[in-house]
Amino acid sequence: MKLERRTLLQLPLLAKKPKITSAPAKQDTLRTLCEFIVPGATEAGVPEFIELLSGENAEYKRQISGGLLWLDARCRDRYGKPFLGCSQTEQKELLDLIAFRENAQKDPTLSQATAFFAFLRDLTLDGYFTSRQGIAYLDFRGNSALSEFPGCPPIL
Amino acid sequence: MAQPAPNTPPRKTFDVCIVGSGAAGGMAAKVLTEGGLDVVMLEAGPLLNPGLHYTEHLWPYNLPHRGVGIGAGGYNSTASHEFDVANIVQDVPGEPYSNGPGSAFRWTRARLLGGRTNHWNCVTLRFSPHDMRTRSLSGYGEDWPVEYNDIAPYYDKVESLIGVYGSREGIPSAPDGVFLPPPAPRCSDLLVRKGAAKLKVPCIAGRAAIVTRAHNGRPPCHYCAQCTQGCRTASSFSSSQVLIPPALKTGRLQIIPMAMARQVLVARDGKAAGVSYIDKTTRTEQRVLAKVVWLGASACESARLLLNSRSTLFPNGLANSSGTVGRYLMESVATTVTGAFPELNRIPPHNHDGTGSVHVYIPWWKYDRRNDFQGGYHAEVFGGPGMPRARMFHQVGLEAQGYGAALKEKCRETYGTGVQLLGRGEMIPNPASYCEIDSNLLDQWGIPTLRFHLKWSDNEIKMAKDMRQSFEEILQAAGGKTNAAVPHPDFGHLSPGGVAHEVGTVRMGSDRQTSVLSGFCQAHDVKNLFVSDAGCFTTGPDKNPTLNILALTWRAAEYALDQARKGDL
Repeated sequence: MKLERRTLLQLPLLAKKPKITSAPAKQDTLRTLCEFIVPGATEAGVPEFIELLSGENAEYKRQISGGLLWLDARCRDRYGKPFLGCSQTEQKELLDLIAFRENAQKDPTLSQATAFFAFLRDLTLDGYFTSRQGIAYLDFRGNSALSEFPGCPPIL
Repeated sequence: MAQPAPNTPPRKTFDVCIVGSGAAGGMAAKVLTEGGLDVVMLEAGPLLNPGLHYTEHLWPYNLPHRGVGIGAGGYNSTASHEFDVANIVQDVPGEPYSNGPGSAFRWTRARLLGGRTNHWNCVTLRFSPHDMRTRSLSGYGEDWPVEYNDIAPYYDKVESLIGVYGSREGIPSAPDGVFLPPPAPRCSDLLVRKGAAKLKVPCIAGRAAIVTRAHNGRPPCHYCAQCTQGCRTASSFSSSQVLIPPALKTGRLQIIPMAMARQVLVARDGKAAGVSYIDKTTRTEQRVLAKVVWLGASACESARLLLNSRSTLFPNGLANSSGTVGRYLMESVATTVTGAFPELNRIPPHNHDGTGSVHVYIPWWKYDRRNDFQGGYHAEVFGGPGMPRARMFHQVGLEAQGYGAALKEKCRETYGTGVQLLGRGEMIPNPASYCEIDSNLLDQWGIPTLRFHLKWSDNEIKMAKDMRQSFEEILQAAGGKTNAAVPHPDFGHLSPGGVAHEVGTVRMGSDRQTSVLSGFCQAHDVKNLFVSDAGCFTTGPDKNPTLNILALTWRAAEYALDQARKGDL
């Protein structure tokens, strides 16, 4: 019987962080990228969130691991070292190429990597803004129990 | 290996066997047991355990997937989003359905005591007198075999029992009810109200089955906006927490969980004699006998059960001499328009949650003029800074692009600035929209499955177009920026089934040639068979079904009690 799926909501499991299973270099590249996309993403557990989702979904996995390999190959072509070996200036130079759709219009060889980066950006935003840190950053004040709902402050 | 003990039904004959435990099943159980009848209820899922099945008050970071879909389906998984109430999904494992060419119906099903009322967002609207007589008054749709005045006393009783907030307004398309005080408007509500007022469009207090003060032993709402995740305090209505407990208290209700109804049993005299079901725990077939069979399995499950109950006496399926079982499948016409209001981000941060339902809404207001479509719609108002969720910043990422501190800040600036008008409109019944038994596909319980054929007609497309235009006008009049791009050639229709308002597949009517049930939800062909879920609806007004299921069921159950006392069933 698979109808009951709520075991995951039982408290001991809640605290458990998803495990990272991929190779260490890949993990580090992913971490670096997430941190570039949203400063604070690593501390908010975003790489683990991405690893969990792409570990379950072959399509996500293909996009992420393919994208990371593309990045290393392109860095080797350009700078003679993998992404992690590049200086921060070089890393940013490369990201500036793939973080904007317009660049892919000018240079079609960038189009797949642009799609990869957009996907990773999506996942990173999701992971960050669903974390304790991200929710605090947004200053969300709800999900509590009130005895009365006061309505809108007298400002509108 | 030891097998679990089968869910063996008692060998006695019950007065009534109810299939389903949602709005219809729960209400029937309450009224019938309180009326002195012995009732057995079959539920295809487990008994409710709110601690296990509800997700209210969890934070996304309490969940490994942060609330998005689990497993291979990823974000788009409809089988299991972590924030959903358990076992209420479109893809029930091992229980498939199919669609005919050109049809894309998505079927939400519950396998849990209380059914879909466990995740209901509680919008509670009465049909209007016009809604029930569109054929006579406006020349489209059908007349119901009952009129507003027949049901009005039951609306009163239901609202008094379950607790509904709202305000009395005297608007013909939106009859007033028995109301608890409505909650104060949210900031987003005030903006919409301002825009509506400029255009002379009514924007009134919302109407929802959430108790804003202690009511019949239930504590008042604590304003966490999470009714759809299951309310642990039962301040928002669910059948499992509000209707089934009093029925159990009578000592005359026996619930058999994990019981998937397969067929209504028929005696030689052509009367219903009980229900055969699969006990999901042991995968064995069991039978329960009853003098009356009451279906509240949901519109399409009830149609499926009748169509699967073929016999020499009823070769087209039970109670289907008219051929209308499964026909006239309707779903709410739905479209959503979002307005961006940067000022919402500049007000002091505060708890904007409120109830999980509408604090204000726009009832149908164009009833006094000629429109280029028939039927009406209403708009539900949501928006503002809610609980941060996955996918919330998808659009920001798409537009802002880039990365880094600037992107992060852009998300904060945009957070909470969206206000949505959700349209819910009437679909006109048509015989080409239907469900039938799929001749190729069994579910894992060996029960033939459904195949859907749902297609919008021109009227629904025109209505959706009008919704979009008028919602854009309202949001713009309120100072919001709307996205002019039409997301879909059907004017942003959700794909059918997305609203989970499917109705009409076992419809009531005064002509037994063209309908299945009487106005008391009693089958024309089988007098001890009742169907009171939304399958019994003659038409599909814009009003959300649940209140109407509850009122029709209460009325039908009182009738059944009366008939049982007279010995007429």
